[in-house]
Amino acid sequence: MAKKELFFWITISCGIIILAFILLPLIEMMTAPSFSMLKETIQDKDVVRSIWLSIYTAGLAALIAFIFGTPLAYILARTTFRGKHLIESIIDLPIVIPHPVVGIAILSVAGKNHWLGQFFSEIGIRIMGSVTGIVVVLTFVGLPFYVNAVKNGFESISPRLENVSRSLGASMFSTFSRITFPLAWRSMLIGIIMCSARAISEFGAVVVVAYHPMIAPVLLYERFESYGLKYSQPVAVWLVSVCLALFLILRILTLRNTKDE
Amino acid sequence: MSFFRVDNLHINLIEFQLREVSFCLDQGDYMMIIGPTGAGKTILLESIVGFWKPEKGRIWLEGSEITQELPEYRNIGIVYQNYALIPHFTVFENIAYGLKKKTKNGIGETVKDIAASLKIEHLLHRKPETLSGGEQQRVALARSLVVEPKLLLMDEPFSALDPRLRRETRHLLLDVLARRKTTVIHISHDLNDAWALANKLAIFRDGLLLQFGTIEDVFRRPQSRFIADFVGASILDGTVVANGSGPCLIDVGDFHLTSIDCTDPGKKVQVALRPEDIIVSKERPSGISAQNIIATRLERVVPEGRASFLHLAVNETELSVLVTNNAVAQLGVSPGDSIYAMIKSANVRIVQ
Repeated sequence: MAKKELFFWITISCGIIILAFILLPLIEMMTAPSFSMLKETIQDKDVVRSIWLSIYTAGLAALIAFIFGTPLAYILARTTFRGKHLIESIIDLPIVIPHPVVGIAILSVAGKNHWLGQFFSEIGIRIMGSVTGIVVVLTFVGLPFYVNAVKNGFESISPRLENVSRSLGASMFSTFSRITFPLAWRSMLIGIIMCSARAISEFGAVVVVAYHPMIAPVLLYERFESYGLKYSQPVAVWLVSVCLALFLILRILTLRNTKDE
Repeated sequence: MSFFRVDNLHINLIEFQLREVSFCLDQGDYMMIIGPTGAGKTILLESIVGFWKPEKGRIWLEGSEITQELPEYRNIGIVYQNYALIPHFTVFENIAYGLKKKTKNGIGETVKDIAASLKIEHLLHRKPETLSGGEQQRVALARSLVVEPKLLLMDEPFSALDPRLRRETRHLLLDVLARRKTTVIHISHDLNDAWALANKLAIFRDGLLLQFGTIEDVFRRPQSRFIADFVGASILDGTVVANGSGPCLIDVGDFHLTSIDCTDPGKKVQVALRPEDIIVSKERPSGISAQNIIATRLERVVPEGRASFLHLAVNETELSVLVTNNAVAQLGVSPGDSIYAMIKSANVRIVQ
């Protein structure tokens, strides 16, 4: 009995240490800036612009992941074929590649020395130092999170539901829109949240491809480098607050819909 | 031209394979498929609906080939073991799902009719998750039947139901099917399902259709020991002794049997006996013709539910006999006693 209690206290202590490890720095940072500093920061046009840029580039990345990733996730969830594990590993690659390497890799194909980069510059698309470039990078790093979340969602829906639907005369499109999508949309929303959360936190890859226009993490880094901790903290507080607020709203919306059903 | 025909079907899904599957059904036939797990039974049903592309072979329904047809145009219904009801639809919406693809008028009445005949009309406004297994099963049946499929496929539809519910659902199903003359293919593990519902029986193992025929045929003339075991028959090895006028005489080693089937004298054969076709008595019966009467020794009595199996032996040869527990008590025999077994020549069938 005594041993069991010791075990219990060890697990609890480890849990508390981990929670403190996560929360302490965050709380410290959130409470450090004074109210007036926060107010001053949010009136700074550069800060507002960078946070807004972060949010909408991350949102665009999630939208692209949704459009192109959903069909891929569906195929991966529903079919088995030779080389499927290879494809799944390729999709996970952006998670394990060091972030600056991602930036450099993207520049390698987007630069003037590559036919793709030449093609893009001919049709007037600039990757280096542009919003387009930021979206490309954020999509690259966010895609695996979307695809994996949605693949799991599709896998949890029995293919027999779709089979029955088709045997009852519904086409694949109709089956997907009436049965699969309504059952999978929550996992799509979670995928979008995961993907945009990952995208909004990206720094290393973006800073290589586009230092300007400045997304919030880059601005944060610049403030820290030029003015020090004290001046970067308020920007960080605003970035974190806006992100948390957005994700909270999304979560609440999904929870409410769960109750409705 | 048969109503439904599968011709030399091959399916290769890496984990599962079906090879050389061929059979025909007439309209209104009720085909039961039995076989061990992993025999490829579900794959066969899903190929008939059109979810798997055959490597080889053809499928015909009502005279037209449907091998390449999309599932939604085949008019073949499927009912799964786990019911596969659409969770975010009510029972009514589930049943009406396929109907909406066909017609716009009278959906409400049609749904209510089928719900009434399956005794689920009081559940129409409920969500599937609030229903019991038996109720969900009837909703799944209603959903498939309401669109009047040309062919209805069922994959172990009763296996999650308790025995009483199973019997009830069988009766309901038979009633509904009789009115519609639906042709059915049904996978089951339960031989009682086969006796109660089917007129045709198919035995599958390892992706092969081992035997297909009428229920009587497969139960009384199983084509191999494996099938005999599966359908509960005993097989004896023997040699044809004579086939003059009258029944054929077969030497099965420790005794002789007469059979209505026959082949050339001297030929090695296997004969199949069904345990429920054998009658036992303590005294030697007299005045019964066309019967085989065999003197045996009772080895043991194995109770199985409301009936018992008597294991009888004549030297090395064993026979098993199914009798009611009541009959065992009345017989008043115990292991080691001598006992007479009787079986009609008509029930001694040469298998090969």
